[in-house]
Amino acid sequence: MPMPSAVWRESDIDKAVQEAVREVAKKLAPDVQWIRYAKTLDSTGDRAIFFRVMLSDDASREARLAKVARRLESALSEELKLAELDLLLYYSYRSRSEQAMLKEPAWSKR
Amino acid sequence: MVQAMTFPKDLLEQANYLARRERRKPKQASLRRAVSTAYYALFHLLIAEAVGNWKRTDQRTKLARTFEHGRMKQASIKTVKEEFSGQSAQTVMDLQKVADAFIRLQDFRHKADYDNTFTLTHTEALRQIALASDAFASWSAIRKERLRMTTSSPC
Repeated sequence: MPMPSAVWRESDIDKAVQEAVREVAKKLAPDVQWIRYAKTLDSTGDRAIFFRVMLSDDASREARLAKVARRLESALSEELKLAELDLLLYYSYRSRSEQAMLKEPAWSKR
Repeated sequence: MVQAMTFPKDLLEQANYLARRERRKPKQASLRRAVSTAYYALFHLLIAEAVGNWKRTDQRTKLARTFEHGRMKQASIKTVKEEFSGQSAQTVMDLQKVADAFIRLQDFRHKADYDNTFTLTHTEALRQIALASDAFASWSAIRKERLRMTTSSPC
């Protein structure tokens, strides 16, 4: 039975997200190299999860990007049961070679 | 007055052009304008489609100006969460794709226009534009369909 959003605690959400991220990253490897996330407010103050997705250079080619991204987003929202969590989901993508050039800490492998 | 139905498509085409303008070393200005334009393409598509149902054609332009980004986002959130019980699953899925794309593109447009602390990559810009393109396709598939809210009141 679906759990009403009010019942979800922050620790429940973190656990569910971590599990979903692990599952999806495993399923979509090596196209998806890793997924990180942050729970915060979006630009208009709605509660949200922002996913940062590191893609292989091959997966970020224009011919493949949309398909890979669609698969990832569909898999993650399915795992997370969006309506129950009452959070908006946002995704950002970057390729390995783009990060190698930019070297942004938020996108570094921990 | 802009042509209501071709304007959104032209904006989407322009977003695609801007994102591919400098292939080797894309400029932040091009990528940011591309993402912002992709959002506005969808924003104007939805408004044009909504006001196109208004019988008094002379009032459509005025009506179009009453649409607000914030209220459209809240309507999109309701749509994404709505169950639409007992109705065409494919139509519901397409409508929710449009609503989800609107929410996401609006937030990214905000970043692209106002947040200079992050670097927008070519990969990211292409993804955002593809999201808008997919929303156009989904909308095109369902624009004549009818759906009824079953669990919440319409905005």
